[in-house]
Amino acid sequence: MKQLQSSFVNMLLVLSVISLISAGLLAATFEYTKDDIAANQLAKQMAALDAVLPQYDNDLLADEIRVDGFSLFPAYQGGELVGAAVLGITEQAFSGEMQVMAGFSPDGTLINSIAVRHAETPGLGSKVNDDGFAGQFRSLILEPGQVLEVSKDGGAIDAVTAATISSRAYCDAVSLAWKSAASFFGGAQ
Amino acid sequence: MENMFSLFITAALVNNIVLVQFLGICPFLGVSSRISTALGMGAAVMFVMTLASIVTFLIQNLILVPLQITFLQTVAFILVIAGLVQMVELIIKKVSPVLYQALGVFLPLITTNCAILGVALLVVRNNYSLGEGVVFAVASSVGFTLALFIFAGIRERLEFANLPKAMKGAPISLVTAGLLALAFMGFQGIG
Amino acid sequence: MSLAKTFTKGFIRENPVFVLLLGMCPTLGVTNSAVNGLAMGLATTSVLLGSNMVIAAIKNLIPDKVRIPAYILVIASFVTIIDLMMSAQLPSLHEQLGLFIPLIVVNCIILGRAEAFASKHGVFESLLDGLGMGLGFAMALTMLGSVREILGNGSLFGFSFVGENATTMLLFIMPPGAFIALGLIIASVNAVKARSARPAAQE
Repeated sequence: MKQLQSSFVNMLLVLSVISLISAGLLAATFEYTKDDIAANQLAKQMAALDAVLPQYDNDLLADEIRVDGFSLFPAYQGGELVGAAVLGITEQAFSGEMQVMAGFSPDGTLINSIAVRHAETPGLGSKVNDDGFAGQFRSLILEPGQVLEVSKDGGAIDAVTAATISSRAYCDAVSLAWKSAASFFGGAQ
Repeated sequence: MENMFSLFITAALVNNIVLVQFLGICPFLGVSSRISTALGMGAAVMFVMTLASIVTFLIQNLILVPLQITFLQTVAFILVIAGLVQMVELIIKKVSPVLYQALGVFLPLITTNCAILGVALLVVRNNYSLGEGVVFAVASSVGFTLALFIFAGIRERLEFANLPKAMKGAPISLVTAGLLALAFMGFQGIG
Repeated sequence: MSLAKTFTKGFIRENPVFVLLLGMCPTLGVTNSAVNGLAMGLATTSVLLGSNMVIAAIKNLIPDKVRIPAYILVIASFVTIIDLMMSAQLPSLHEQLGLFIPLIVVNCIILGRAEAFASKHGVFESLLDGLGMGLGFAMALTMLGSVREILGNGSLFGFSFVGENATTMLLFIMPPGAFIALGLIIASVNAVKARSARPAAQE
């Protein structure tokens, strides 16, 4: 079969047909995958929340509120406030922004934290989620207004070797999260 | 204003798109070792990258998001870039034959330059405003040109170096690029 | 060219990364671990297979003047399909590969094979060509990823074989290490090629 001539009509027709088929195919694929994609994102968020909060029985996502510009998820067990998770966002990361989910209990203890979104160097900056680093934040007792810093900046946190910037960003995100949580707990009393 | 300055430095140096983010490697390695060629390529990239980032930003925010068809992002962006490059080539040919002589040969190569598409996607992924996006695009292309420029200078010397046969060509270029990348890591403390 | 040769040339003789020096961006960008390299290689192979076959099938329906935009449309569509499927089925890999998944569309290998091969051959040959080139690409990426992971992290495919506090050559996980590792690998490939060519030349 000889190749189609490059007349204007032919060119327009062929490109339009390919575009339409392509758009249709992609729309179909999108429909097919969108539920799975949404479920994945939800699972990821719930996993992070579960990792930083104690036992709770409320619908965290439905109870989400904004405090000081950050998303706060209050956790209740049997009607009593048992904790709050805040998604701390910092621009100070090495690459792009870093989002850390940190859970606090009303008495000022940092229960746990986990970086849920970052673009740090794999194997280096990404080590902020390793137990050796993130573990330092576990069960930390905090005063309202307290800011966490790496030892290089006079603080008590040991930074990840050769990833000071990522470590600083993590501290910043957690400190911002604590600020929101503290003001929420203060208001809730 | 200070924020824009910091954005510029970060995009051009700290997160240099070639030596840190691995975008635009093909032209980086393939461009000849002449400095004038490097500058020509850099200028062409700067022009196309900035223009492309603006147009893709508008398409993303005025068409894709409102109509909820963001899954067409890849297709739309690459078609925009390919079309832009064609258009730019035609315009330069008509407006300034001299400029076309200097830049013309690079323009078709730019369509498959992952740096252009990469930067356009980064503007969207980093949630920049249009102004920040423009600064980011210009800065990224400046960083690209800088890396290209330094590299061309080094390669001019490399041509006269005494190398083991196996290292000649791509290998020594890559190792040199690695050392250059190492040097650029020194910028990490800024920004 | 025999069918067998069409398939195998992508592995060594015309390996896209080590010999043709194409597809450099993802090669350097996602090989910080062996599994990332492999995943990217397989994703690219899927796109290459799809685009090669479709383009070979409709090559006579595409007027010559618009073949590049047409090829780009086809390739971009396959990339989007792979992107969506990975996001749905393999979310953590999808996150690891990040920006480089949509960047598959500008991987010079894919457009290159469409121009050089699929536009001139039948569907089955194009399938073999795509599969061979794609798997050769995947092999190269996995190799580079393995080298960088072993030297830089003391592990392979996630299995660590050094202690928690061992000192590894962090350089290889970072950008400079990628360049240097690839450069040295290509040098080795060149050396091996030269050595195998020498006995033939001496006859």
